[in-house]
Amino acid sequence: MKKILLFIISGLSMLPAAAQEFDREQWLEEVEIVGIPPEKYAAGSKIETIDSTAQAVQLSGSLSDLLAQNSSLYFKEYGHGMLSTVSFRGTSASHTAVLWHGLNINSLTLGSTDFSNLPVFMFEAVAVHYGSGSAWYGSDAIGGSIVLHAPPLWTPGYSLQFVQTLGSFGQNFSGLKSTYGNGKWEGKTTTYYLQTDNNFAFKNTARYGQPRERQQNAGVQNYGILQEAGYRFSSRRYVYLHTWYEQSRNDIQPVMGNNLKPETYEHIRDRHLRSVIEYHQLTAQGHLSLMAGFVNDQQLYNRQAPIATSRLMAQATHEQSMSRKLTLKAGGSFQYIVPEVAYYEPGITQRRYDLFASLRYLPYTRWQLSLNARQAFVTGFRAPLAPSLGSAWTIYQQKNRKLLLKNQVARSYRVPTFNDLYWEPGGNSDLRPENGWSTEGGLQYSQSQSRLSWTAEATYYRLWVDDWILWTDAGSYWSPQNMREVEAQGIELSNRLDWKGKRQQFSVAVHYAFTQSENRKALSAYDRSAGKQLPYTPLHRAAMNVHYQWRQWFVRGNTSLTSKRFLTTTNESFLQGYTLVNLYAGKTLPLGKLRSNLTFQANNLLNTRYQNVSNRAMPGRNYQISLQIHFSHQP
Amino acid sequence: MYKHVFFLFLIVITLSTACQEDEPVSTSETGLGDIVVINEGKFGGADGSLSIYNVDSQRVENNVFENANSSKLSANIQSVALHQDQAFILCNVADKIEIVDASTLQRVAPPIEDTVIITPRYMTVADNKAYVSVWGPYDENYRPYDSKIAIIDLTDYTITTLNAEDGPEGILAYGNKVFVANSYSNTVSVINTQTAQIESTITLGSTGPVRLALDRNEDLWVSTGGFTNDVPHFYRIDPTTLEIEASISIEDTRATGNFTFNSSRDSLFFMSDEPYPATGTAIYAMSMTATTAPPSALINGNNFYGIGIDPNTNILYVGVVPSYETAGTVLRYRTNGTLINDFPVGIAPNGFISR
Repeated sequence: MKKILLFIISGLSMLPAAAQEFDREQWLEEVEIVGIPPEKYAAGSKIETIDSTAQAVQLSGSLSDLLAQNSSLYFKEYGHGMLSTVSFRGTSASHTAVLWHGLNINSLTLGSTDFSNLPVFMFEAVAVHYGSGSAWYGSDAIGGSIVLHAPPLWTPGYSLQFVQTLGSFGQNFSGLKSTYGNGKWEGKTTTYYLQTDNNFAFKNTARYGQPRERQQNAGVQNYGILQEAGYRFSSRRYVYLHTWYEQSRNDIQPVMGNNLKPETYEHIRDRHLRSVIEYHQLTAQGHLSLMAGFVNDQQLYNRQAPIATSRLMAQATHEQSMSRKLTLKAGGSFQYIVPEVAYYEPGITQRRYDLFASLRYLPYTRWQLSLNARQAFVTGFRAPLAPSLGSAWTIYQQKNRKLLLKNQVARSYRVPTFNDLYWEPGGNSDLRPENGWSTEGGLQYSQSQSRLSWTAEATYYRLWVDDWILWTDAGSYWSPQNMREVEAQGIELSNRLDWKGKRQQFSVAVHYAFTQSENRKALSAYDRSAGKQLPYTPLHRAAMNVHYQWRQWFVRGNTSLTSKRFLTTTNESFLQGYTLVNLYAGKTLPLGKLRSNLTFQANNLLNTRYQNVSNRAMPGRNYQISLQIHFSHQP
Repeated sequence: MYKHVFFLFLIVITLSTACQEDEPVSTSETGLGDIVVINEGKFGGADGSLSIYNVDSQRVENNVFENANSSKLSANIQSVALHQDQAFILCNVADKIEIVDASTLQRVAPPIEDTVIITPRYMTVADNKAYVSVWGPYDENYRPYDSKIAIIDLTDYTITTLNAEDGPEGILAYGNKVFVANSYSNTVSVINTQTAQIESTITLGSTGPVRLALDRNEDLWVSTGGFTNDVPHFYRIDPTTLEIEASISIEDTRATGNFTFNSSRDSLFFMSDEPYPATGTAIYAMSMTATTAPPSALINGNNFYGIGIDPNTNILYVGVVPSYETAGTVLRYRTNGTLINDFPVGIAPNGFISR
């Protein structure tokens, strides 16, 4: 039994330090799903976990801000706190799978996720899986995937965490998280409320005379509750339910030229109900996971008819160790989707069946291979078979030093969105799924001494996407076609150094990405976009964090650099690159049994005037103050 | 109007801006003159621009407004109207009317940003007053409501308004009348310029009148087909008696309502889309004496958008929009349909003015 488990979890040896802190013996006794579920079968992939310090410091921020400051990913923001979408490795907003407890939460109508509406407070662990990931995650994982995860605790006792943040231009975040359990039963309740008036001052360069104005119609109101409950039948069997409801109302920040035209103001309201129940069972035969989920997304644009989708999802996987060297996993999933959109013909439904299998093989102790494949069948068409083959080879290993060579080749796909297929008029039911390949190679070096640890990773990748869906002008309406062919290549570097003294700690982390993403062919006779960089794809993007802690004090500096972004596929015009600096400083205040933190934060310290999306103003220097109170009791 | 609905999910895809940096050309005072190309910009992208094509030298200068004023236009452009030595640039997102010198394109006055100017469409001038069709704000179904005709006194830019039918589009002054095509209904309103009131209404057989023009006999032509599913038509109307003299159904094509007369104003060219889901476009030629639609197209192509004639040379200008995030191209055709040349412009070339 222990051997089986050992093999099941030994893939974790590649996990970042945080996950390795768990006690091995305890691991062997219990079913726990730690880290990112598919990581074990993702030898050769580049996976980064956002470090817990960064998460703690930015607890009242959005996932968009957290990832923009702590990775080389580029986020396209339509104003401050407005719609924010991610671009992985030169791909577009809908080429990223966003997984919450195994459920892809991308909008089925738009194909993407708004990261400004995902508060960091809601997630225990955030992992970034680079490259084509359809073999693991299915549709959308063309450029990369974001995995949101929270492992069960199974520790008796209760805890309370309260966060209150106030800031410039009416920024307000309140969060309350409680956990309670007796080792058998467990509950977690997380609630938050977020509000921003966003009436920041800016120089309106889009208007005659460039007057200084206050931003209008950019308020955000967002609240949500996450209720989780688990029951552990035995150390080898448990069931866990996650239910998350959130509601938001976003004004749509107008283009600068219409800042003072109230007649043109617009807003959008979103409601999401997401629920997942999972069951895990470990027997001599292996590890069985069952999962069922329900998602209802609703979006109201101004006072329009709601655009809503509901989906039911069920998944079963079984994992088995065949020998010391070989572990297998296989499963299937089913989704039933019902849209409620006034612009579609009535009665449309979609079924998606996925079959998938994973294999992990260790020919030698230092060499790990993984082979995965997924085949999806969708009402009306079949997605391409998506295999992936990865290898992780430890070239060099001393007791505290390790050099790992990673290689991977993978296929990816994206099922067209409901709008692509069914929007009337223009929706095109003849669309094929988008089809991608990617290959990458990288070196990862890690070294740890008693006080100092250092990891560095360099990755080179190439990526191809064909049948990329584009909406083009078809006269009085737009219509999507499988048109674009894109080829991207790039280099990603990351470097992290941690030093721990008796009373002080120091860390520095740097992420850099060079991204070249080009159209391969002209779309028509008079299209001049072939060989040109895609719009809103910066060639260079870097983020650096320096963190210093002395006793109960800490100071953290963050700087990020985004190079110029072209605005057209023909590359005539661009937005200037920019550098942003944020500063955090705080102190831990012991208050009896309570542990509290007071943090002061200055955003855009250099008062850089910049635009992320053309014609949308962004705020200059602004401040936030945050109080966190933490209380826990263990019997 | 469906394009407006699309904005909801198209905002997720890239926005874009047009500007091409070519060597500037000096505008010739003589010769065949210039063509001003109106690049609408991506819907909602506030990235419209103007290009100038010099017919003699065949050279193009893009981004002319920005170059002349050292500041961006930061708006989409619906249309440009010339009056005497001034050009009026009718912008939406940001909603305003820029007033520039017609030859240098430098601002001669601050833009008109009055709150009544929401989605201005087209402009005509009568008695030194500009009549502007203004859509106004949209309701929840993306239908304009509270549409106006804005009447701007061109001496001091003061504005008075007239309530209009929803979605006033093409506007044309003739004698002491101003005609307004009401694109969301089946009517053309007639404004008396002496009283500045709507004095009568012409009712058409089909909905969606969009563009207006006068032929060589000074008969008024009205096209329908823009914002409706009704069968597109052309109507020939006596502008004095307001009688409908001819009604031509364009049943076999999907005419967009976009058309232009040739230089002698005895035949017209209109734009048509292939039936859904094809994306092909075509240009048809039709005589002013026609009673039925032309059986076949003069020019076939893809992604045609704007159309215009240079009255000096009788050369047809056609704007090509390969996608809404790509700089467009202008094609020059002889009126027999032969292609002369093409040149690169900004995003979504939607119209042409010769000066």
